[in-house]
Amino acid sequence: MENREKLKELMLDILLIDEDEFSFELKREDVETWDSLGVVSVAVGIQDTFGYHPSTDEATALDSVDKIIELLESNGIQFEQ
Amino acid sequence: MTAELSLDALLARIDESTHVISGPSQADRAHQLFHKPVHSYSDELPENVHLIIAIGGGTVIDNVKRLRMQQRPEATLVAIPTIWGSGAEVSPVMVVDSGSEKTIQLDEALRPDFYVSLPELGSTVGPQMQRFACGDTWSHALEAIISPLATESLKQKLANVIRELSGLSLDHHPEWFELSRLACSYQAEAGVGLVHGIAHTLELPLSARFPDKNWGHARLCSLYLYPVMSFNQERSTKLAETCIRFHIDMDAVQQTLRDLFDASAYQQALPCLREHWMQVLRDPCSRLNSTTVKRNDLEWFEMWGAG
Repeated sequence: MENREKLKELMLDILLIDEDEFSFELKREDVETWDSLGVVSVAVGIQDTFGYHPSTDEATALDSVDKIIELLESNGIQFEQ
Repeated sequence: MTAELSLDALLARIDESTHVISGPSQADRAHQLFHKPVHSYSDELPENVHLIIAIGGGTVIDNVKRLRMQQRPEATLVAIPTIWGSGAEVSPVMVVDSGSEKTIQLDEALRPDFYVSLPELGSTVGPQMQRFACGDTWSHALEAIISPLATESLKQKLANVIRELSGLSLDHHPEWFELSRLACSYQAEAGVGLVHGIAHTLELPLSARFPDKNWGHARLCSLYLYPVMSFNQERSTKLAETCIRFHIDMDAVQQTLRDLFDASAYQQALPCLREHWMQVLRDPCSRLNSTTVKRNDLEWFEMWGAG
């Protein structure tokens, strides 16, 4: 599975949203379950799925799917267009 | 923080404004100790109450914490646990039973002012309940030490608790009370995970489905600790790495988890887990699990049970 697809699957599971509610432009403010617990779950999920452990500062700054991709790309994990 | 009080110091404080509450099984014992009428937590608190003594298990103590907070917040609350495991006597947490689900409420006003340690009370509880209480304590300690919110210093403290727990058999011993209080205090800071998410979700539906069986919180924590830790270990090396780093005997931990597990109860509860899986995923504790829990992970638990 490609990284974009992996990330999408992860976000569907963590945020408990349906496929039609997801987009790569999704922001934290758009989803009720992307609350403070969701921030922790996203950090754990990134580590489980991509092997990168975000620091506390990095994790709290992840307020959109775009930013997650940006963080992972800056740490050598490539996302195909 | 909740301070320890000796029984003698408590007895010296008892006067006309003292109100004693216990569960039915401890009412006689409570009367012998305090020579006062013993009330139920379903009763209203009288207006002139200044000292409330709650004696019982986690449910009794939680309910008295709620009563005090809602009706007499100025009164002093002293909790006396009759069984270890929940840590209710020192925690600012209570389990709220809405009738359809159990959730956690956290409020500093819930925390008892004092606790009295009478470990001999634990021997008045049957061996099965003692075993479940041990599982409850283990689940707090293990889920907290691998929680994504556990700091290094908290992990060190939890590791000390786990090493002590490893030396105790799964039955009555005075040390269980103190160790469960510590585990509970630390888990209140770090959070717990999927074991508790499952326990909170399944307790009411399982109790409704099998009213003659005890499907309480402690039993469910004991039951699901082994499968959930196996799930976590398959997905992540966090538990194994934590054990190595903090000198915890992983083999001893694994043996305890196996000893706490009950295969036939697991099979009996499986349809309920299947039915309530989405609710399990939404539980705040499940969302704090050390590894991500996904919708299709239900299959893992079904297969694990079959294996």
